Amino acid sequence: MEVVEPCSKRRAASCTKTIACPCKTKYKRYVQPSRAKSFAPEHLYKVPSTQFEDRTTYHLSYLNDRAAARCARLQPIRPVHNLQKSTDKFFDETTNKLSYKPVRQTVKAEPIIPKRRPVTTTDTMENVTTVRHDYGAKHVERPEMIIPCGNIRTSLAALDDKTMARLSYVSPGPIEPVISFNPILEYRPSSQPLPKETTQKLSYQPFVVIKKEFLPWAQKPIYKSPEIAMCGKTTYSESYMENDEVSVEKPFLPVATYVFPYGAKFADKTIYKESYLPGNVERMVPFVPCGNISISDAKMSADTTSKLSYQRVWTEKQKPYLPRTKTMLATAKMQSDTTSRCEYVAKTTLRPDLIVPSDNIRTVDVPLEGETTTALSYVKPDMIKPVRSYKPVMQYYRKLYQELIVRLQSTATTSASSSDIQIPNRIERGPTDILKALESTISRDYTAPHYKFHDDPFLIPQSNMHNRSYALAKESGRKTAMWIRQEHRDLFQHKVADPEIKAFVPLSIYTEESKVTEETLLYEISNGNIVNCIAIYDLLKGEMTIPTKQTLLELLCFYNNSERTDEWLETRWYKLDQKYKKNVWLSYSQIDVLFEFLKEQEPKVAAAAYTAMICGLAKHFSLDKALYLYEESQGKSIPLSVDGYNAMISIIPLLRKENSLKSKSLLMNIYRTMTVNGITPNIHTFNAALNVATTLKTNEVLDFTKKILADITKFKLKPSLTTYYYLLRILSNFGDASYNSFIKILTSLKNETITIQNEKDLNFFVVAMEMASQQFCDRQVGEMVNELLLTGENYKFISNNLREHIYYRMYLELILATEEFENFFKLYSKLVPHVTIPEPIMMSAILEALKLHPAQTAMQYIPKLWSHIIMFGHLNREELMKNILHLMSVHCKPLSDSPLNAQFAEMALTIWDHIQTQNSKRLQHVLVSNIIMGNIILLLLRGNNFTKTIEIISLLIRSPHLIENGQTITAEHINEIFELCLAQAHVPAIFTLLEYVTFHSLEGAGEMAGKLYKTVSLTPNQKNILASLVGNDVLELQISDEN
Amino acid sequence: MSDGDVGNADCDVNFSYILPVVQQTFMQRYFHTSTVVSKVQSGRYKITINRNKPLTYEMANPPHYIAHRKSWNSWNTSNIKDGNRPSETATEDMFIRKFMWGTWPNLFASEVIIKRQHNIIRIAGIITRTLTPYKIYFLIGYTEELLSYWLQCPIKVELVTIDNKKQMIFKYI
Repeated sequence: MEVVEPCSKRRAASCTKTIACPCKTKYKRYVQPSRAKSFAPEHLYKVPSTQFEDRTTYHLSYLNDRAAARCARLQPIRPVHNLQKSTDKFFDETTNKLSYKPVRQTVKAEPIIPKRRPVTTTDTMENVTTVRHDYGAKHVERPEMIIPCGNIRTSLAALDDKTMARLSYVSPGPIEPVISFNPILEYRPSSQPLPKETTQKLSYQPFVVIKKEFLPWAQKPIYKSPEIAMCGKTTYSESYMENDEVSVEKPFLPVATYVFPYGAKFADKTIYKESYLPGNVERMVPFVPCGNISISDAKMSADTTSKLSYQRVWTEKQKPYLPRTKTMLATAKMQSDTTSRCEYVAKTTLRPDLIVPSDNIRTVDVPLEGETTTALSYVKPDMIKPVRSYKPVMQYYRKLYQELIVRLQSTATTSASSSDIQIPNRIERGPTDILKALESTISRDYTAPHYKFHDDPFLIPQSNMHNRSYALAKESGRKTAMWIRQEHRDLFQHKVADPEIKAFVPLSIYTEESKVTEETLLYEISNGNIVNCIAIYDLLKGEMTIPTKQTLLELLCFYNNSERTDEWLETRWYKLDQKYKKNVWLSYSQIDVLFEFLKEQEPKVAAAAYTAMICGLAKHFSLDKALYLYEESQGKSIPLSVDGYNAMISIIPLLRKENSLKSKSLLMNIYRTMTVNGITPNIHTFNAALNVATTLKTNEVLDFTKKILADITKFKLKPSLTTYYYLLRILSNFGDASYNSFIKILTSLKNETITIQNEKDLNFFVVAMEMASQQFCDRQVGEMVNELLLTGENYKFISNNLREHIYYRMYLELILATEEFENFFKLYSKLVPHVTIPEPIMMSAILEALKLHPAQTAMQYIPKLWSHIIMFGHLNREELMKNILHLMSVHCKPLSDSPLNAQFAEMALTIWDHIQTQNSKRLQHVLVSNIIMGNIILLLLRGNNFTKTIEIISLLIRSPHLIENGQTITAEHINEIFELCLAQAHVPAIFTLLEYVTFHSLEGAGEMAGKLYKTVSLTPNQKNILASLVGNDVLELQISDEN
Repeated sequence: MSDGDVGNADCDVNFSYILPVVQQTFMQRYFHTSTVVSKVQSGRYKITINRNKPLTYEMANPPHYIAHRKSWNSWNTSNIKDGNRPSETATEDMFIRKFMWGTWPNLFASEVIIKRQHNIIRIAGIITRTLTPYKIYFLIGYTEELLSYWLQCPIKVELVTIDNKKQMIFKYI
């Protein structure tokens, strides 16, 4: 708070100070405001007017009086003295004494005390020991010493100067220095004078140092020596007193001490002197060596110790055994009586003739089957083929056997063999043939998942989605590994495998530093590595031969510069086919440059270039450009190869759509060109023509097709699977009339090994099964197709997940439509889930079919189908739910006391829970049809699950939008629900139902209320609720009506 | 009293014998002896006080039971007479084990079993189900491919899954 007060007051307050306030300014100062009075009630202690009652329960319970408390204590219970001591003697015979009586008969064994033996005798020790006694001293004369007699001589000649070291290290003599070819740096002053004005000089002008200004204030004072002498008495000189004259201390010299009494001397007679008496011994004259090591001139005695000791032994030397000369061998006869001959007398029995197998080992005429492990792994066989045996064919020959018996029995040699031995031809076996034979013994296990999945409960895929994600995840892992190898390629350069395996080595990368040649390009082309090919091509700058350019162009046109994606197995298996045939060709500079170059070359090269280009364009549906190039080549009269023409024919059906050209005339045109250029058509030409035929109108198709087929036979071509595919497509237009032709196609394919030739081959089996199922609906035909698919390696024509699905859907539908359900279900349990997983539509069809069977039959299939529906994740499919709920609630309605009711209720609960979880997950609610809802409630009620029923119905009251189209539960369902509740007399459930009915203003609320009132005796409270639900008047009306 | 007497007597006697005893010990010092170090410890586990240390079957059987009650962790023919590349096999196995340990973090409930047949290496083991199946498949693909790049031969991973590592417990010691 601020208070303004005039200065005068302040002055008055500080009047004692000397300094007066100079002006009339007003001072501000802070004054503490007075505290507001609190309105809180004051706490004051007031003495109570009335006294509290003294005799409370507490007081009465606990006695306050100490004396009284002491009195209240219980009297101690003292023990009565009733223990009396007996005066008698203790009884002597205790149990212990009686049990262990002393044994008196035993005599103690006397201890055996060791005898004392005299250790030492008093006699003297005997002198004669065993050793002394046995070994008498021998007297042996010492052999005379053999003194060597001077036969060691030194050489008189001077030592040779040429030592090894000297000879090795000969001085090399003067060496001419190696002429250095380094350029000699020599300074030559340039003829022209250097310009004086260098950049340096011009840039840095001489800097003139300005003469230093004389600034008197900046001058430093000059030192002047002091005039007054410094004081001599420093602290230092005062502190240290002057030393006295240092006198060197005199050494204390030892003074002669007198140990002995004065004048005494050491005795002369020491023990030493006395011990060693002086002896008159002549000193030994030292033997002075007088050069007595002299080389004696005499010969050294040859009789050395060694020689004398070891006397020479005269023995006769054994003659060496020399091998006999060849001539001797020729002259002398070898001894024929060997030991074995002597001992073993020749037997009279003759050796039986050799029995050579005649003609019973046969080679198989049929080529080996190509059923490799891989092929079988990716095969879904149906009919298990009998395992082919590679054992030699054994046949029982009666004649041969008889002959054998005769030969063995007869000892005579005259049993001539009647038949000539035929040695079978050797069969050429490949390195993998034995493996093939082994793997042909393995067939598909229908109880296990596909080999690409892990056989572990957790890792086995359950649904189509799992199948896809697991297989692709595995491949994704492999791709990651490949990427890592490529990223860290320097770490993966080690070589373990010998020979090197290219697939394990990281792909080479070509940069500007790498040396590339045409061979590298050709190598990369053979690998089909497009990125590297382009890189090398760019590095080579087009310097390569024409054939290489041609191959590169072909590769680039085939893939249109894009990366290869076809090497990943699973990616390809799960890839969807390109549906729309639109132009996907992208033009790249490399292709254009190559093509521009090649088409200017000689006609043959140009033709190949045009062919490659047209094939590539046709493959990528770039129709206009293909047509343009084709016309250009025709204009230049360059004959294309057969592939080029085939490509052109294959795009005719697509051209027609855009250009409204007459396809037939265009085809004829191309035919004509081919004949003019003398080009023989192949099967692909006619396949393309058949493709054209499929687009024609029905009335002209037949003639046209016949013509093409006639052409095929005329050229003696073998129809491929594509041919049959197009034929099937044409046949499908003719309905049942095509049945015979269809069968004919199948029988002609039956015993053939089909090889894949075209992409369209893959469509054959799907179309065939579709026709068998949809068009003919004939079990036999379907089985024929299926059998054909499972023979040999034909399963590879499925090649795609989608195709496999369609194929099996068609197959199962066919069996479902034509066979007994029992038989169908056998097949179903074999194929599902490991071979194929049916789609919801298929499941729905199966359930529909079940409805046609009696309840008893249908009942036994429901559990398995239900578990499959949950497993495959089909709970979202409304159609499917509707069908299965209908089956459970209506078609196979169990008796009221059947245990099935509980199971069905559980299944209904599963569906309801699924709907609820879906609702909680999604923003948009799952809409359920009213029939499904009604059935769920019914099944729950039949299983006596009232709490869940009430929960569902009350939820439906609160949120009626859960049922689609704003519908409500049907009247029949409501009635049945009511009846069920009434039978159990479950009043709360009926109340909830009534609430639902009245909320949605449905009919029948009144009747239900009346019925409830009649049958169940209600409490007054319940009656009130009932009245409030349906209205009092309605209720009374009902009751009166009933009465 | 008698006790004290005896003590004194002992003292005297001992003192008179000290020198020869010392001399004797010096003489005997020339022979160095120590306890026999033949204790075998590897592959065996100590028993705990509360007997609550869990062991798998593999751990419960000490090494001398190999080929009787349990089997080898590495199967190959490198170490038989005239076997091929024994040292390389050992280091490669070590590498594979380390790789598996790192690539499958905390997933293996058993030892990594490595079996070599011809040029194929099969890596087996028991893992827990802590990852979703598709992640396991990813790792399988990755492991097979990367190891085959490294060891330059086909690799196969063969796994068995269990819910919990406690399922591996064979006994408590």
